Amino acid sequence: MKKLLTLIIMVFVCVFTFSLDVQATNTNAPYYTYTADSNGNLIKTTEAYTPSKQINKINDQSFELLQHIYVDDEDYIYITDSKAITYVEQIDPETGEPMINPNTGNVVEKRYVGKIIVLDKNYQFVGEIYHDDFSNFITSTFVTKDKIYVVDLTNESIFIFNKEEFIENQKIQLEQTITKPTHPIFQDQYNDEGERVVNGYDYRPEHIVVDSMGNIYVQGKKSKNGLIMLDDDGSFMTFFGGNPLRIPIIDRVRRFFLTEEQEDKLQRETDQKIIHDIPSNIAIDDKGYIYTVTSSIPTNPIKKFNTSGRNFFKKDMIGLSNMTSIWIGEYNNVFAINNQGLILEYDTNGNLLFLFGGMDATNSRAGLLNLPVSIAATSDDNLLVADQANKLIQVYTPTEFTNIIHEAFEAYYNDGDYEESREKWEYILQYNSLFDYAHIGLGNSYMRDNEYHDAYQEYYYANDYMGLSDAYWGIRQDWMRNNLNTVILIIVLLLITRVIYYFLNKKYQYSKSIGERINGIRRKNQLFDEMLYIFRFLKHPFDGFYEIKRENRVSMMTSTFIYLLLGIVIILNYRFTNVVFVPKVGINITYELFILGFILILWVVSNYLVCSINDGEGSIKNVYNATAYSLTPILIIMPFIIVMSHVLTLQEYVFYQFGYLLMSIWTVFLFFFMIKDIHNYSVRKTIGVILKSMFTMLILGLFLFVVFALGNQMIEVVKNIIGELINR
Amino acid sequence: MKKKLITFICFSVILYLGFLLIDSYHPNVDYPLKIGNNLSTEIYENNFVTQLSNPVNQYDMDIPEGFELISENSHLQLYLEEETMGIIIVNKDNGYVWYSYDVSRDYDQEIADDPNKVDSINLIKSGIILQLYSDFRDNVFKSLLEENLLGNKTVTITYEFSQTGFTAHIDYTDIDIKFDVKVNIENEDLVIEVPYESIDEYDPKLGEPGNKDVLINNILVYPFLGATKKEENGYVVIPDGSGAIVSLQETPSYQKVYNAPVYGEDLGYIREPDISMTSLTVKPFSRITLPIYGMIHDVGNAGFMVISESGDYYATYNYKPKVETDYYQSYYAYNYREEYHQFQSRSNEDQNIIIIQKKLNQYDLKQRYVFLSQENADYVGVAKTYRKYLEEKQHLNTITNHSNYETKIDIIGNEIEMGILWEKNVPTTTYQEAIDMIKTIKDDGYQNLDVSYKTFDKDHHAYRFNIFRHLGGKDDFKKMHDYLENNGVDFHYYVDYVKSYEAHKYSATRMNRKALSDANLSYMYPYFYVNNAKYLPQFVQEDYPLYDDNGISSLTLNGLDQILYTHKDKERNNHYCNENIEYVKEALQYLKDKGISINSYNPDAYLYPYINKYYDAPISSSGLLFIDATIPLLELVVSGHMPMYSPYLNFISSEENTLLRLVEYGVNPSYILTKKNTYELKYTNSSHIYISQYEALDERMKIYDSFIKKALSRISGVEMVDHYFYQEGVSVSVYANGLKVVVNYTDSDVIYNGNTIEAKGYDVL
Repeated sequence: MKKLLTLIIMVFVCVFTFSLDVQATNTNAPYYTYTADSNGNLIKTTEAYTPSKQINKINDQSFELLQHIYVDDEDYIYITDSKAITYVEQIDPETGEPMINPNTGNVVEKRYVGKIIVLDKNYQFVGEIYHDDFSNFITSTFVTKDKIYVVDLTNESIFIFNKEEFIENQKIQLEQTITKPTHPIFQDQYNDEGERVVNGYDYRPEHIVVDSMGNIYVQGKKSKNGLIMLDDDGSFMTFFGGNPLRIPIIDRVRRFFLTEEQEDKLQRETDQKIIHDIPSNIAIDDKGYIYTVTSSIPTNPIKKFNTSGRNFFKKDMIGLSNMTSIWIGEYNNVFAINNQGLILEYDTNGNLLFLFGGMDATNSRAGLLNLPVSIAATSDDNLLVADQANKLIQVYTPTEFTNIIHEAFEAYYNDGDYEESREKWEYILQYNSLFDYAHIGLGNSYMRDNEYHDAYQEYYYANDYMGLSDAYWGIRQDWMRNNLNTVILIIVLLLITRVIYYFLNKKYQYSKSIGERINGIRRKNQLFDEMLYIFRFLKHPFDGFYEIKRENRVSMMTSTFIYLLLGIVIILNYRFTNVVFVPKVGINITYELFILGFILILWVVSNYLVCSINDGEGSIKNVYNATAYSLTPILIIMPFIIVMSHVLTLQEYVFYQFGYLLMSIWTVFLFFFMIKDIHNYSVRKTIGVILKSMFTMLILGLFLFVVFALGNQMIEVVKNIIGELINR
Repeated sequence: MKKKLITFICFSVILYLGFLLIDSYHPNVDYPLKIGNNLSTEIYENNFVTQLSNPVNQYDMDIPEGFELISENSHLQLYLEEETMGIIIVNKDNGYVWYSYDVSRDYDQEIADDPNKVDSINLIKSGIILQLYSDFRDNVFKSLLEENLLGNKTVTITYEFSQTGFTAHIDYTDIDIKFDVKVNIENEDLVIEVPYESIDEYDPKLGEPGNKDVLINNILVYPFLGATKKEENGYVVIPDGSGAIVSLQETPSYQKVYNAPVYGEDLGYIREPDISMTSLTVKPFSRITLPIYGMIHDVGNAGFMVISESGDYYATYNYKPKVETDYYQSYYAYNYREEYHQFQSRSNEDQNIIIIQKKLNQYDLKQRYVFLSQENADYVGVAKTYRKYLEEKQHLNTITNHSNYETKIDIIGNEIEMGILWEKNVPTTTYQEAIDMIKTIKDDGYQNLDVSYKTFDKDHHAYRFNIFRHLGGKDDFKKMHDYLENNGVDFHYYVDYVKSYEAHKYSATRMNRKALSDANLSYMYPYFYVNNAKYLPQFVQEDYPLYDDNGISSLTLNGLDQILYTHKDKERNNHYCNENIEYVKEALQYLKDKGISINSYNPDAYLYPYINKYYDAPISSSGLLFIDATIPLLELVVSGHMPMYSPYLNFISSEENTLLRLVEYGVNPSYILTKKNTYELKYTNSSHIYISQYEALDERMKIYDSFIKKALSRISGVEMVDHYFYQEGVSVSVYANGLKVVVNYTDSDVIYNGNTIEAKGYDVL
């Protein structure tokens, strides 16, 4: 890129006295503020930012079409207005006097469209940047230590001005113009007849960031491949940080079946259906991470890329659709805005800290917005939002609460000062007890001081399972240290008791009498008898199947009771398992039990149906009973797992898993042989029958679903008809 | 076999012990306040300054031709222009003349210059504007001066005159609508009435298929009375929140209209509750609870205030700053009929049609203008006039004027959340815990407490009175009750007879025959449902024996702000706000007769006769951009009759400004508390509360208390007799006991009458 030094245009020194129309309001903000808990639910919180000032006129001139707002390291504010008109008196280069039109006698004025208005940190006017080369659509600025970059969408150019000259002397000195890259990919290609065969890649720069090396990342308005990375001369380097393509699922399925040829044929058609998520804004932090925001993705709209293009923000971060602008704050916190006037702040890890603001078409309350297009923040965390529809800049000031949160994060993450951060977290909790990040922060600092109980409580509030597990580990460690003697003593005592019992039993035959008594009850009470039969069944499953099938050893009542017990065990699992392993939030156990019950009934029915046409010998009663008994390992093992979960932490997850594995294998084993023995099949046939049964279940399930849906409508129709008849 | 049994028993015991261990483990963490022992603050700006010494003026103003004197008494003269029904009122105290439209313009010339302006000029001149529902007319605003294509008047007005004024029989012959308007002067007041009986939509084909129905939507009476282009020293008094004023400058700083229904939105007409993101974040406007507004043309000399005496529940307040016309306007529009969405499909809510209400809302419209002169002609005068009006009608309880600094505490006793299988109670403060907590609070130095105890009752799906076993049962309740009574705590039970959180047989139905509900947006319940007002007396009567048995002598009623709605019953008959008001009054009167005192949250003016304590008193307006100052209009009306309590201070962020406001307005502090951790509330119907535990709040409460105590202990509960803005950001409130509270919101010290008022501070003089 050739460096262009154009004429230095004398800045027309502001002849008006400076004036800025600033309105200030007081007391309550017209919006609620929300924060997110660690599960991603929104909860209300104390106001984080309150609307303070509104700038709607500068030098008595209203804004025309606000495009962008930018704040540099020294808190100079750059406001891009693409339709603002400036008249500048022309100076005769020879005399230095204003040029006079000889016909009219008036001073010759030149008209410029579009300008950058620069204010200092006290919102005092510094100067304006306008230029001959600007088209009527400048979109944004980016400012480094010594350069002011201005992006022009129509001209597809980036203008670089000398910052020092401008700030110190109000001189608009164009140092360099970077035009569309010369790389072939951006050029249209023509065949011999002069017809365009390939369209050049859409450049259309809208926003840029410049890294410390001077490389320019361009967010193009229609750039499907993501950001366009240029070197400091403006030569194309690579594409960067594009969003993955979203291909409609039907096309993905279709593609699976098509031959290559067919696929090519369909390609053009598909191309139109693909949704391109083109980033809508871009930002860079002081460590060089590049952030993009994409308005068409509501689930994880903001991405934080390192230089190799890896996204550091999690996939399930809380976002909104139509987020149009982002800004990186002092603590690498991320501010964003959506076009409904909602302002979001994330911490450096992409957790939502605050959501506030909102839309007010009548614009009768300060702080509500109409069509915000750009957000920026000063070094003291004042937020500036450019509202295109209301033609104003709204300033939001952080509350004490927010300042302390920022300081706490700063102390905690950057300085590692846990003591200081603890004090701040405690302060925050005086204003919002439900602020999970404060609880986690406090928990972490308790952990450092080995105060495990307090830490556990804090993590518990915040639903932080990793933290909980660690704290629990500490509590267990402490307990073990303090109570090891007692534990050993109890074990020894138990052993001694066992030995004494052994001898006493030998002498007095306790076990025999107990056994007789039990047998007595068993004879009288069928349910009790059949429940205890579980143990025999589990020990000798093959005998058990035989007895169930041939001797009618168990009744359907007992099986039903077992199913009920299974339900209870599942509830117990949710209620009492250590929260580290089974989260206690957002479970609908009734629904889950209903589904499980439904599957069970489907299984019994479809297995019976399938087997009765596959020479199976078992009756439906056999299947019902045997299924119940095959599930009994759950009944036996699950309570142990629940109790065990209270001794384990996530570090020993493998033991917890082992319990489940054991339970599953045992159950599957019993299940398999249950079918085989009840129906008297070969192994191969059994597998076949299981698969068929499952398929039948699927079909039955679908059928029932359809019947249910239709039935509902049926009932509705009948109801309506009756209603009509009664009312007429 | 026995081995198995032993194993089984051992296992059960271990299981049981395990559960005990888990459940008992709940350490409590207390957070000491180590930093931030000061109040957070924000910029406060209020540009309005009261001019303290206005010369008393006498006016000599013209009565233009065409107006004839109709009636006169010792205070007022009433003139009428028969063609337009325009009126002129002369305030004989100082000669100030109020015109129902701007008579200084040469309208004939303007029409001759631009014939297109005829419609807009007719609307300005017309005494009555009729807003219509009609599917073939573009112009839904109809003036009294309209002519048909032949140049004949389409409206006939016949007058009947009396000693005090006149009755106009208005007949819109082209659209077949007629009604009477009565205009009379009573002492210092002008009273305008539209009797319901006289309204007649007499189109014989009305409602028949194919007929192009023209129906009344709103009636506007004298919307240009007091309208002005500019007043040097004047303002409009808007009843938004605590009250606000807008200066009548040549060019309005913002051309924003403001309109708000008196007593809040009528839920009967809404299509369905709004649960969009916007409704989640954008605060609703403050409700208008006073049916008044004021127009001051010259502070200290000339102004008037308007009281909507009847039909206030169907009135919408309108403020227009030179929008559509060249005038600042302030008026009430009276609604007679509204449109609503009727669903046509149960499954597809998009399938609906807009239906226009068939029958008119049945009420008599009555609007009173009180003309103010001299020292009464300012916002204090507006408030005091209304206060006097209420006192004369015995609508304000007389209480002794002594200072009564109390801290109000709402205790959440029981809440509800979704358990693993079904809804379960969440005890957040048991009866015993309440005793302990109040003990601690008293020990911490709060002498006067006002405590409401609030419980969610699963049986009613509402906040109602009940004795709960899991909170400690009958004995503990009695213990709590006795403790509070014996220790001088003013104890009330919190009940809400209006809202319930599940639809049931008592729920009212909207005009579109869906259950009458609105967004609640708690974790537990997305909506609340509004009970049919006709059941209120029944509920109250059913509950009274319970109150009697348990010694409850005072109730805190909530939900009454939702009770004014128009609805349909099962037989498809319409029911109107005024009927609901009667039911509410019946219920409240019953309680009052039984000796139960009633307190309420931000009650509407019609409830004042029944209310002892005013909770949730607005301490600001809605924060509208165009207002020049927020004023204590409500406080000037109510103070000295009912002690007032602030919104919950748990949630404030701009602490200094809020506390200074409490001091300026003489409003007691108020908190919502629980004994258990606020996390207990997180999944309940109180999920919007993010700080409530006394242990977490106590330090803040202490700081607040010490900040406001000096003033409130001397002025709270005393009538505020005067209020003015001494200079930018400095206000002075004067109380009946002679005390003056000077509040300085600015960042620098201020000298007032030789006393230095600290920055962000106040002084009682």
